[in-house]
Amino acid sequence: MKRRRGSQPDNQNASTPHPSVDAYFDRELTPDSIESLLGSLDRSPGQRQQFDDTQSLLDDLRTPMAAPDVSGRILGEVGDRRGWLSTGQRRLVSGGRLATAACLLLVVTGLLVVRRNNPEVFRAADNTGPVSEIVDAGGSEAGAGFRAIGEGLRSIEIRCQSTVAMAADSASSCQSRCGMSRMAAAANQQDFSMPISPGVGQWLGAGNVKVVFAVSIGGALPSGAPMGRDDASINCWMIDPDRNKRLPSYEATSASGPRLIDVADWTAIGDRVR
Amino acid sequence: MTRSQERKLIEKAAAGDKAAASKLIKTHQGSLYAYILRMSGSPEMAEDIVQDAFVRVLMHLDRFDPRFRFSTWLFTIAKRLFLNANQKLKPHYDSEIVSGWDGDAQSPSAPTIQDEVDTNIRGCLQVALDALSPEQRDVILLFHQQSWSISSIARHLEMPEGTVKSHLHRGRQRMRRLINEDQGQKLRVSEVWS
Repeated sequence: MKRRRGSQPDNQNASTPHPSVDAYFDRELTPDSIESLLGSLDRSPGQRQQFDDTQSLLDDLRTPMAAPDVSGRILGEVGDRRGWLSTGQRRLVSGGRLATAACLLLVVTGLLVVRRNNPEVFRAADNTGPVSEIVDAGGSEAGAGFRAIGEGLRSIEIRCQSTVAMAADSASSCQSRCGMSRMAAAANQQDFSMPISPGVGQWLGAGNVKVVFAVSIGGALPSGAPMGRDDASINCWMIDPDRNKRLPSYEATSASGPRLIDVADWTAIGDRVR
Repeated sequence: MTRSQERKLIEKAAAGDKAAASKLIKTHQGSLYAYILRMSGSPEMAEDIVQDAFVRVLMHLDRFDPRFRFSTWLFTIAKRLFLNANQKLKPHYDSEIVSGWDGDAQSPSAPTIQDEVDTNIRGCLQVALDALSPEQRDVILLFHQQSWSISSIARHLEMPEGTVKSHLHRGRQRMRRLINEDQGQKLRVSEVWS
């Protein structure tokens, strides 16, 4: 261990430490700056003494200490808790992991190939039954959804794109309250918007409408779609014309700005696309 | 050891390789022991904490984030253990001078005197370290004893680099002042035995 030099520093000089000393001990000086600093300190014994004392102190801190070897105890304790594996065992574990990963990869690849060759295999969940039965079954969920719309929004407007049209059963019953005449007209014009007030939302939510949105492809309703009739049965779907698939959501705007209202409930019902 | 070599060791140890774990321990146990010893002043506590920290680290090697240095993780865990243990134990140093005394001789043997002077210096260094605030002591040890960079210390202690530097400067000043005050006392110890 090094000895600190001298005893008491020259207080007069030491009271104002050299400005570069801290930078030196912070390991921030370049070799040239260090040389300059040391030269400057040589001309100031007090500061030099202080510098040497600090250097010696820090050297003491870095002096290696005899540390006990506790590796045996550590390895023993860890071994008791989780065990160590021999090289062979580790290879076995690694091989097992690789094999599992390879199997998973094969399964995923196989599924992708099957899906590509026969997509219908993966559409079982979409083909559950006619919409009328399905919507009957899901009436309460739909009602809850529309109640939420009716209560949560001051007014909403449903917008459909030009390739999408809309209709509903119980058309005449709804006509006076939710603008069904505009809907019917829009079905032909292939472009419309339908305002729904909160009151209508509640009315819709009461289960009076079995199928709320009915959509045709390319502006032409499905053959025989009974638009605007009191006894209209349910024959309506919301369809993505490009993919011949139900739309997952529609866009609605409220006074506070646009909102995307998810119709997951409807999707969950499992409407059949024909 | 480079970081890539260290990472391979960690992977092997995590997979159950005892030899890799042993190498990892032997690489870091000395510096960790020195750090905790200086933090605590107690060799027993330092030894216990080193052991406990390594056991914890080796049991959870799968949680190691390779973006950081292994030593940073290890020291963080060890320091947390130290802070917990510090509430229960107090540091102390025992002088070996009494046991080295030969009853028939006029004075202790020369090596014993030298050991005592060394012990005094080490003890006085420890006293100076103990006089620092916990943050100053931590920063001084990590920078000057463990040679960590200021930026690493700042990340480790979650403080700005400017604050780290401030702790460094004040810590060094305070230690130097305390050591200087103790200088006369230390010299008198040597003179008594000469």
